[in-house]
Amino acid sequence: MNPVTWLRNGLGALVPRVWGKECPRGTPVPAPGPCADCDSVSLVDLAVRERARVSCLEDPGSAASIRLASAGVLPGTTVRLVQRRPVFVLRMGFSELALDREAASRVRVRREVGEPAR
Amino acid sequence: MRTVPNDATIGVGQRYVRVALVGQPNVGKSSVFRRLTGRYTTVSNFPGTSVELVRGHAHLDWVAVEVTDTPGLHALLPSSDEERVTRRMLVDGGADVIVHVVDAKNLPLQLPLTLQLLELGRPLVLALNIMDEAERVGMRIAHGLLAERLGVPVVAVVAVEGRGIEDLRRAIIHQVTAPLAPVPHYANGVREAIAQIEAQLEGAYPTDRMGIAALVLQGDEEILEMVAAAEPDGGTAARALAARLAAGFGAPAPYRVAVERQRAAEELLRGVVEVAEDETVRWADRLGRQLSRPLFGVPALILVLYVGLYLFVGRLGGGVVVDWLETSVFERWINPQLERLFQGIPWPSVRALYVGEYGMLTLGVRYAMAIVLPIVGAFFLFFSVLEDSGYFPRLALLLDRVFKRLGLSGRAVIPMVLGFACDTMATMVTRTLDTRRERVLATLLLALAIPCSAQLGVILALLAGEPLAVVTWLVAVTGTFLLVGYVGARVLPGERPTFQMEVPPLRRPRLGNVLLKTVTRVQWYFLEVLPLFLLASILLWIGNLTGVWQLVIRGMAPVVAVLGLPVETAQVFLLGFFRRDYGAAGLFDLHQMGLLDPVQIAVAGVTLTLFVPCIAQFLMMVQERGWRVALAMLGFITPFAFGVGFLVNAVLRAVT
Ligand SMILES: Nc1nc2c(ncn2[C@@H]2O[C@H](COP(=O)(O)OP(=O)(O)OP(=O)(O)O)[C@@H](O)[C@H]2O)c(=O)[nH]1
Repeated sequence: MNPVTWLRNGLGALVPRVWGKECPRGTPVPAPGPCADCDSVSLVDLAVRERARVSCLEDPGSAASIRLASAGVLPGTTVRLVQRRPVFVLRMGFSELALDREAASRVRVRREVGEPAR
Repeated sequence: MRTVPNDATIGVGQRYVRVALVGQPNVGKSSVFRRLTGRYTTVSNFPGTSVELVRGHAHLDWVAVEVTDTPGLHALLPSSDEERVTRRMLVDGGADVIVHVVDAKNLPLQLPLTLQLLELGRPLVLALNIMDEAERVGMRIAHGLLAERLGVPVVAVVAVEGRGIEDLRRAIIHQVTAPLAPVPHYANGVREAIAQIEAQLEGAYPTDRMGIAALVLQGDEEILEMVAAAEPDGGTAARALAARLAAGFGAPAPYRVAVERQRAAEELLRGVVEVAEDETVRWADRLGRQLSRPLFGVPALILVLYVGLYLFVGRLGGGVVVDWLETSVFERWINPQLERLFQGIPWPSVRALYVGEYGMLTLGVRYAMAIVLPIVGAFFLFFSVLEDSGYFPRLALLLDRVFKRLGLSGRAVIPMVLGFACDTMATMVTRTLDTRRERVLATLLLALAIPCSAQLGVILALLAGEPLAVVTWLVAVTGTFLLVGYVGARVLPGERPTFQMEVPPLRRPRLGNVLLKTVTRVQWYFLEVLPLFLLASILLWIGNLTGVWQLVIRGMAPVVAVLGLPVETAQVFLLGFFRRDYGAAGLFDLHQMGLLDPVQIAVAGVTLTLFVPCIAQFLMMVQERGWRVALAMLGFITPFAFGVGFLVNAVLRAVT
């Protein structure tokens, strides 16, 4: 466990208001946000080819999030990041969706366990 | 079981069944439309080719039907204008049978829309199109089982080959009289909430109240207005109820509803879709990714422009073919014949109407056939190949960052690129942009700095062989595009757009579709252009006879002189008022006569490119943006174009 994470986790345990809750196993604590939880990361934190499952959308009432939802980016959807630059491209089943950083950072995902980042 | 509301059955006096093809963008609706009706509408490999309703008639067995091809739709809750077009049509009860066309391999993502369509209470058919690609990736769909669960026919189709179209026809006919499918169940109180609102509605609606209720729950403004008009209490009770129910969800209603719908779709598909997720990265995928990255994408773009535009359209179409048509066909063969034919007319002024300096045949038809047609034909061929390959969406990814600076997003790349084919059509396609601000900016840039194919081709042919003029033209036009976009984005208030776009796969263009599309476009272009060219010739002839023309030219002469151009170019600009390409063709003519030096070619080329759009485009601007905005743009563009021309002249004269 790296010291920063350790410290943040420690702080998280002390100040649950700020960090939401304690995160076990040394996972980084997400920045506070309405749908942040310990195992979820933002889509922009994924590496190329990494696979993840959408856990929630930030600010779900906004037009941008509703547009994401209409395209099928909803909790439970499995996505794979196939490109990060110049924009993010995620693959869902057989279709690909391009998002700029702003749209992509609204999507919080949980990494699929056991998936080697090839 | 629900029954079709009275007015939804085929109305008295209506002699055909109205069938609407609805679906997400780029799923092959236009291809299915063509199979059903034999009518061609543009089929392209990028989302958003159809932005308006297209109707065609056909007979399915003995039943007369009117089929409507609709703009792509992601959800019934629309987020852009072209989606609104489809939504309005559906909610207004414009369809007796709805065919939901889906891309079979993306069924899990697209089924939620099927469920929304079911909420509208219309007979439905689910068409699993592009089945060939689904099969190729080893996907299996138990469509019998899905049909049973949904309660509507599910048909596998390969529209481009015509496979399954017969089954689709039969299913549509069957649905006209079939009982309605049950409404899907949504969990966690969503279904109940919709039902409560539905029970609250008393007014008369053109569609099933359930669909209306679902949209009320999601807070759709347009629907709320509709409800306000239809309800005796002005919709206050329904609105209040919806707000109360939505508050109970703990999440915004549209989101909650979308989540539950997705779950319901997953439930329906359990055991229906069998697929091994395909992880092999094909070379087409690799190429596609590279095309959207600056390091590879920019050189690729330059190569495409150089080979496609400069060599193929400019040199081959505008050079070789035009030369041959002009000298061997028209000058040597047609024009003398015509002169002889019209020799019989004793009055020279009447003769001039046909074969004189501004004659309908020697000027109008010659411009259209010998100069513009080969250039435009070559351009459309080149454009169709690119369009069908799926290159343009990659370009959108590549240019997103640049476009953000102009207050637009990568999505606006599609209308801009289409503008190079036809600015009029492209102005309509700005509907696909999310905000009004983006639509206004895009419309302005199209009118100002995007030359349409005809104009571009003629100008390229004109510039070919004059490197100084080519570079000047490129710099001036690109500079204007960037500058006006940049300033415009700062002047116009509004929020920054975000970028989201489906990326269709790269496909090998089908020769048949490419040729068909090219021919259709050339035909359309010709039919639109020829009458205008002839009309312009007639007006010129009248002006010439009455002396008004000379007067106007004399009035323009000082303006043209300021630009350092010969006085003959005054008439080119006047021709440009009718159509920019007509003006450009006039310029081409002057150049052939050796009247222009390189600096003058550059100045005239730049000014005419930036100059007012053709009449058709202006009318489209009025239709889409309203009189005020359209006139304001015109008022800005005209002096601006001349100003840039003046600047280019001053700079070039100082340098050379
Ligand atoms: N392989 C295959 N390709 C298809 C099939 N149907 C359509 N296509 C291709 O899919 C692309 C989109 O087709 P369109 O008919 O333009 O789709 P659309 O739904 O009308 O598209 P928009 O108007 O943009 O919403 C084109 O490149 C077609 O050639 C099919 O059955 N099989």
